[in-house]
Amino acid sequence: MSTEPKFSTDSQPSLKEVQRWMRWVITEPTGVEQALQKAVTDSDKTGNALEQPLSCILQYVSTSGELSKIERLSIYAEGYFARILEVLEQDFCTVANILEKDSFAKLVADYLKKCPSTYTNISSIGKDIPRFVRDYEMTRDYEFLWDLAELEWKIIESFYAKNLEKLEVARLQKISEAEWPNAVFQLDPSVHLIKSNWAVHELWTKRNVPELDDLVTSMDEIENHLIVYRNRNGNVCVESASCEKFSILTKMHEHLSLLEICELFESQTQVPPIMEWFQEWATNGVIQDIQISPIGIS
Amino acid sequence: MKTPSTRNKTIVPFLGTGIGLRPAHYNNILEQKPSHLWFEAISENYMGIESEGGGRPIQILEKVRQDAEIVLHGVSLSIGSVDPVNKDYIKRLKKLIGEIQPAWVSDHLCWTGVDGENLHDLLPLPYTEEALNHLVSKVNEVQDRLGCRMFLENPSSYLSFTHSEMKEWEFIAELAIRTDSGILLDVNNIYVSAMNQNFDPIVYLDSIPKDRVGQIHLAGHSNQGKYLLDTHDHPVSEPVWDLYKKSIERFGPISTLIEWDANIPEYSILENEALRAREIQSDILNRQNIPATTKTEVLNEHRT
Repeated sequence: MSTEPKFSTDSQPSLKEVQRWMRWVITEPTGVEQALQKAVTDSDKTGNALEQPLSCILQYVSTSGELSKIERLSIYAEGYFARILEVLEQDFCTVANILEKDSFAKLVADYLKKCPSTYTNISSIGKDIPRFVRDYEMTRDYEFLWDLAELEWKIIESFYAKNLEKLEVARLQKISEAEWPNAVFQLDPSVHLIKSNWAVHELWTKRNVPELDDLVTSMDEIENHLIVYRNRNGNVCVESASCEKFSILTKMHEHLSLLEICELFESQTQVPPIMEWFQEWATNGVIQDIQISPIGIS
Repeated sequence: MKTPSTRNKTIVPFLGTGIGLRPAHYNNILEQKPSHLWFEAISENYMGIESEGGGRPIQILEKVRQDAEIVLHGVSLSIGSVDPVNKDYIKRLKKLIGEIQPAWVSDHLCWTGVDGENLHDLLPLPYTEEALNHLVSKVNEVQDRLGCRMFLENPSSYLSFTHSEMKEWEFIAELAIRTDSGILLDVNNIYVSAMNQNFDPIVYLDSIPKDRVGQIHLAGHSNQGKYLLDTHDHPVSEPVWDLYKKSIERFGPISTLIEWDANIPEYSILENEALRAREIQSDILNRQNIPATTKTEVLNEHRT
């Protein structure tokens, strides 16, 4: 079947037709020739709603030099996919290493078909990967992969989180004993608290080592509480936390006062070292601000 | 930055030679604070992702800006798309311009997507009257919204359209004149496109209006056998250096940037490329008895 069908009109294509056609042709995961075949096939149908533009611009692509029209279009098609794949391999490095090259490339190709980018920053393009991994046929049975993809995306979000002035640690010393019960905490915008039933932290820390495969095959359910944040040096950190630490941070994030947080541990025989943890979180930039309520602003 | 009504087309800052700002070199730049270089930052990298702010990248950019001139170079303006101007994008770009106070702002003469989709690819335009009129309207709108002149870069191209009504160089020149915008002349792209599409790169150079060129890009490409690919992952090739010399002979002193975006080498290698560009400029300008304009005077005048 010819890949150069007649045009639907006799006039030259408009700028809009050129762009819609080219978008259709270069984003087809199976390649330019397949995209052109589909356009031909579907343009023979009548009365059906079509995804692709009816007009076919191929005859307006000029040929000069050694390259054919298909080869010229393929340069753009390959560039489109390669650029995005490179970004996603970087941003979801652990998921990509687990799935290995071809499978991850297929996932990305199918992802782009379902979730084409509408973003101006290519770094945003992975935003829906965690949700896609949950529903995707190849990965839907591997629950740990969903959580792993979520962790890797949160790392990106942490990297780009708004910059606010970090809390001065010395300020902790200026809060009086009477004020502490009413202290309410603001976590840094870069902080993400992640709970998983899988050892995703360990997978992530071993993302570039050969032992990763062994870890995956022996993957068992184990509760993971993770804190993702950007420290004072601007580096994104991922730390594993105890259940108690995680619980306190969650309550801080919900703007409970120190008194309300301590009351949660009243029944426990051993009270966790909360003030020590506050010092740690203030030092590493997890706590961004402390307000004293209802007395007034500190 | 000057408002459109006061844009003076003869005032173009001369910054000397610069290199692209890349994460691999952040430490070198922040520690060494090289006073002989300026830096070009990819605008979108510092505008944040949609759900978040500018984060760590903007922190770095602000620090670099304390000691060096910055030029903002975008990849998602998609000025050639039939989609209307992305007002949210322009708003965020304008905010970044306000924060960083770059020497100027640029993007590409191309389209990157349609119907709201972004392919993150610099896609070719047919050079028709329809396209030209469309771009004139959009460039004017963007410049009005930003309150400054835009510089648009000639793309590398791998195909052209038989229904084009003019050559690429005619299109670029006419667009710049009609909109009082500037041209970011990518000499490597001229060479790559010329080889891929069988035209004489000198004809291209000779057709560009002299007073419209505000910046030159130099970069490496890779030879794929049947075509050249603009990969920005090699040193500048000798034919491109030759074309650069002809550019300086024609246009005089023009701020020149070394682009290297993939397989990024040691910082010193980029510095050496920038040094070679500087030496070429000095040599040609000395022979022609043309002084390189001092950057501080012109830049301050440009910013008032």
